[in-house]
Amino acid sequence: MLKKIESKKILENIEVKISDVEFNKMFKSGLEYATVARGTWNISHVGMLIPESHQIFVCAANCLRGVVLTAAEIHSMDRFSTIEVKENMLYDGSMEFVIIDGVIDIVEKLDKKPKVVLVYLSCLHHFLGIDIDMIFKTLNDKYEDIDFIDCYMNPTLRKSGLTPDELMRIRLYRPLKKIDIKNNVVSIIGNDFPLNENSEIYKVLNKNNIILKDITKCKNFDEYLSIAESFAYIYLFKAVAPSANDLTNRLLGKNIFISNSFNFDEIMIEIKKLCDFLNIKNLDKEYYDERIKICREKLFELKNILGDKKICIDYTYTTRILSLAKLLLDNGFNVDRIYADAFQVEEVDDFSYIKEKFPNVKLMPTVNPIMLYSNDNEEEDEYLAIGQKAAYFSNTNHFVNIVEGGGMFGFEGIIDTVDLMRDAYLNKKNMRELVKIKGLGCEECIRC
Amino acid sequence: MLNTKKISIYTADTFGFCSALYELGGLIIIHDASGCNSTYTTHDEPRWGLIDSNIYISALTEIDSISGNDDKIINDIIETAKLVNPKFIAICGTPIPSMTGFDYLAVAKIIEDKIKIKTFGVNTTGMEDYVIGIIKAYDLIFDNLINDSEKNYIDSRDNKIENGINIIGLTPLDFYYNNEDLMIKKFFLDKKNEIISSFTVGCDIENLKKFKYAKKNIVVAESGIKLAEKISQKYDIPYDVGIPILDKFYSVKNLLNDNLNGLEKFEYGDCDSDIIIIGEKIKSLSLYSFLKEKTKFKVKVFYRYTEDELVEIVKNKKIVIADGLFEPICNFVDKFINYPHVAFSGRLYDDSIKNINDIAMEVLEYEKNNF
Repeated sequence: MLKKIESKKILENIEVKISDVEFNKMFKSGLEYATVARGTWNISHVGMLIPESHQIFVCAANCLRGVVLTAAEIHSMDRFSTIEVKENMLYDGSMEFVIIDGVIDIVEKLDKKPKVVLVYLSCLHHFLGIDIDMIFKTLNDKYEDIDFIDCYMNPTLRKSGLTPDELMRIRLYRPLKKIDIKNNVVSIIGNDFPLNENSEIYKVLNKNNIILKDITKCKNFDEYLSIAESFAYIYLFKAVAPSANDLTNRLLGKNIFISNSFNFDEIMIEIKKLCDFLNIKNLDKEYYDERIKICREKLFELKNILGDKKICIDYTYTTRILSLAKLLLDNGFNVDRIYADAFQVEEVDDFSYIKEKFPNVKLMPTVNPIMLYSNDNEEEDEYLAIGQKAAYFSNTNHFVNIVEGGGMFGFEGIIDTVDLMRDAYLNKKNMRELVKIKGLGCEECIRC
Repeated sequence: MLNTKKISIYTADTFGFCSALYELGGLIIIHDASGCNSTYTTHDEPRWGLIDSNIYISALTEIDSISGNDDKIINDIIETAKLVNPKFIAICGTPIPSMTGFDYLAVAKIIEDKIKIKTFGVNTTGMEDYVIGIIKAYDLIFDNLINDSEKNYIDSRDNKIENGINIIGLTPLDFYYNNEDLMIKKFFLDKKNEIISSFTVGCDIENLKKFKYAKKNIVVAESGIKLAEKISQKYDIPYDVGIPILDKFYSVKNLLNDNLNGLEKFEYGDCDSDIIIIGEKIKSLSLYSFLKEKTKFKVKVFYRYTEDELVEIVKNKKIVIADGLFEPICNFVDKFINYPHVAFSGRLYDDSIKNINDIAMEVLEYEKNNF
């Protein structure tokens, strides 16, 4: 095992200055380490967002283990079943019937029949080349009142076309059927957390009397189905694009990507883009002027409190961590380190900006094997961390405990982030206990 | 067989293998795409984040699986091994490499030839029970890391440590959050035994190498029986099987069958029983022996029965003792006693986990209050 002093030296070699690397060519791939910080959601958490649905995972024990205990930890075992694949099933040509008969057995034993059954197939089924269409046709023919949706837990295919996350976001909305579109209804799709109601997206829609639907707020299956009334689908994560296109193709509502930027001008551009797309009135100039003023004051106030406190950020906090880093750097904060193995494509300009103006900002990977030793080698609480992985790697109890954007957006997102940073600086958290919780906030988002 | 489940499943051989090797200073690679690392470290490895261990995944992709691009895993392992300087390297498997016929032995040999670090390839499949993975790890340890020469045998024969014992089968998957590992060790220390080694918690390879000086082996989980048998044959060290409960060791060796290599359905005990015990085999049998001695209850142990079978078995029983995640299938039972088992429920009960003494006392209390 590596001694502390040796590992510290190797860790220093892994850290790169932003000025020394090219966009998304920062780190070599190789063996991968799994961090202790586990707050991001997995495909089982995401599937739970469909009200009155039931999940059936079909896979080998080691793959099932992670998702079955995910369901147990969020107290949702009553919405979850498995079919365990054994080695003999791979070679005797029985897999289609293992799935069909297994699903029927599970459904028949359920006390209450679900509206939707998400059947998760795995890498094994892809390699076996099973007849997926036949399986789901058989199931859907047998149960006319249940919608069986094929879902996929196939990480071996993560670099072959759509990623498991992208696929899951498509399947999440597949039970939606074409209904009459209403010209005062839009939906936000692909988010794990409810969009904050004080965000500019809500505000601009409210101003124009447009209703925003959100899967995370659906209390029952009928509410979920009414998402299909939307004349437009808004999404904030690039990984949701295939899902948005699928909805547009199937249900006719158009779709638009709105980037979750931390740049004042860009936020206004994005909101204007939304308004033009929906053909609605924008918020008043006075509103934006006031929000910008408040953001500036808040940032100034926070800077005075934090002084030169080192800040680190990781990619699980938001899709636009470089935009956030740029905002903080431009306002005098000591952003010392960013943890990410790669950045979203939309971050390329922010990367170039930071590279030029703040060349000493350091980048660190999150899955490199040597990151095993990162926590041990950091002085406790030296950093203020934004995101769980940053908190764990930098060994700090002063951190903002949010994953995947936490429902924040726009100027209000900046204000919320600043308030959370202030709170994190002033109040210690029990980092080790908090970051190990899987699927942060999921239990509060799922309904039934 | 349909193999459908509404409750949890026992963890897999891959994770049993990693768990048994965790503290030995090796570089362990799970040949997998993604998911196995976080599942193991989140649910099945309570030492993760507390004790550093070089356990990683290979980050296998579809194209590498199909094209047989083994150079990638070989080069990635060598690169990491040069940085972390492990005492050995072990590559273990998951479903996809098993399906595509990944050649674990050849890859291990190539790596060993290149960097002169002992390297092993072990064909865990991710589709077998964790006990099988632990047995494979123990085979690796005994055959390659601690049993190195005939001289050892002669040396050990002449230098036995009086009251020296080894504890075998002690992994966190069967003993952890409830401090049963410490409880077992304390029991033997209180009896003036010296614990030479424990396979494999709280020991490094150097500790384990001293196993041969012990006069007796104590097997505390089914995963340890095969290793104890091998040591018995080669080093003439006898073994007993069982767990101490309260102030007495309950030997269950004579209750076992001859299966050393894995898992078979097993039942033992009284017909028309009042109490059903479901869990790790040696623990369950030890608890059975305790309850037969201390109570008037009829008791029966069931091991690796299917969910559907257990639903019928537990109906109308007075007490069922099992991991809490079995509770949803225990209908019409007077009292369900949650005896958490990491290999079944992971970290789910990490803050409320009871040990075998607490369970024993709970049954005694129930009998006192109800009969």
